[in-house]
Amino acid sequence: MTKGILIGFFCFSLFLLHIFVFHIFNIKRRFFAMVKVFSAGVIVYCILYALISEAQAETAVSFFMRISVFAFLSGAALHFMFCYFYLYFVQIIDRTPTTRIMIEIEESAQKRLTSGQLKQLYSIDKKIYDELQDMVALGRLNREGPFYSITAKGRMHMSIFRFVRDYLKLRRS
Amino acid sequence: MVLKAVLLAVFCSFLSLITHLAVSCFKKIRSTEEQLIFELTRQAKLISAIWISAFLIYVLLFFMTPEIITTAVNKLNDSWLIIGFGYGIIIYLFLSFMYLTIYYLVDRSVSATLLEIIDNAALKKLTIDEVKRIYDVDKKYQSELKGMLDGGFIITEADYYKNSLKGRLYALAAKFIKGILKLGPGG
Repeated sequence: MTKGILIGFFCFSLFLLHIFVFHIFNIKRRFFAMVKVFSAGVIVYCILYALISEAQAETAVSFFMRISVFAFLSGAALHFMFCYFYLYFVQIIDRTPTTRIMIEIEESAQKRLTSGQLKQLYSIDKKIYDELQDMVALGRLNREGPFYSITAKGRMHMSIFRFVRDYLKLRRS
Repeated sequence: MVLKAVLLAVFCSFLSLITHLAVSCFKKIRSTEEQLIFELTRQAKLISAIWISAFLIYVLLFFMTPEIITTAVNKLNDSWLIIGFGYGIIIYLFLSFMYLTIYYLVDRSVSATLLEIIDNAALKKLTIDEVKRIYDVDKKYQSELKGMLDGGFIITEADYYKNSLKGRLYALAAKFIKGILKLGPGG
């Protein structure tokens, strides 16, 4: 299993190279591009898995750490990956507008709603107000009267996101 | 040895999930009086605390492996080639999925967009009405609905939006999970 883990990590690092492609070229259908890159990585994985032996993989690992330590860390990493996925899953179910909209439609009398009816039941206006208030509570924004301004903490948060968005040429949504 | 670690990790994560679901049964329904961010922070801290506690169990079991795990590992070792192959693909998939979640967080983050809107203002400060005007709430609504139409979650009937079968199943599952975890309407 050491071999599979190492090759999996290697293929993931190849997958990440698409970041530079997104930076240099104006790729429109990004999700499909990422799926294609991922699929190519699976082919690379299969080839490397056939070529590399388990003993070679364990020898490579033993240059850096004992196999028992590698095993322990592999299990620990998996455990915390599950934690991350669960947190993300709860966030999707709880916080995304799409989930809320589908639930509102499902709970309506005729199980269908117009755009106007949706807006009355679920206000994105209120979401923006709540987001601003949350950022005040988290110390990212200051509120002085009716005005919101950015704190040093908010500026740092914004700078990181802005850098990544600009590098990946993401449109603001 | 890696197989043992993987089995223990799966067991401990499953234990964490059950624990969180059990704890949620005793939780109060989300209050509308308190600011949501505080409750969300508590929820994330609770989940993290449960997983960290389970990690301690993982450490204990790794060094004092019970017989049942050793037996399972010995049985599965016969198929180590296939298991190793499959597990490597799973690791590749998990890592890629984690990257995708971060990618979409950066892409879709409302708070980061609001911060940029305020930063781009001449006086570096804005009222909520000014923010809403620049953010274009209607456009956000339309793009959410378009995304759901493209994804096949909703369909249109004249002026109405209806859940497709996929959307209906998703909505029912989400409602069920929200009920167990005592989450509010959300969104």
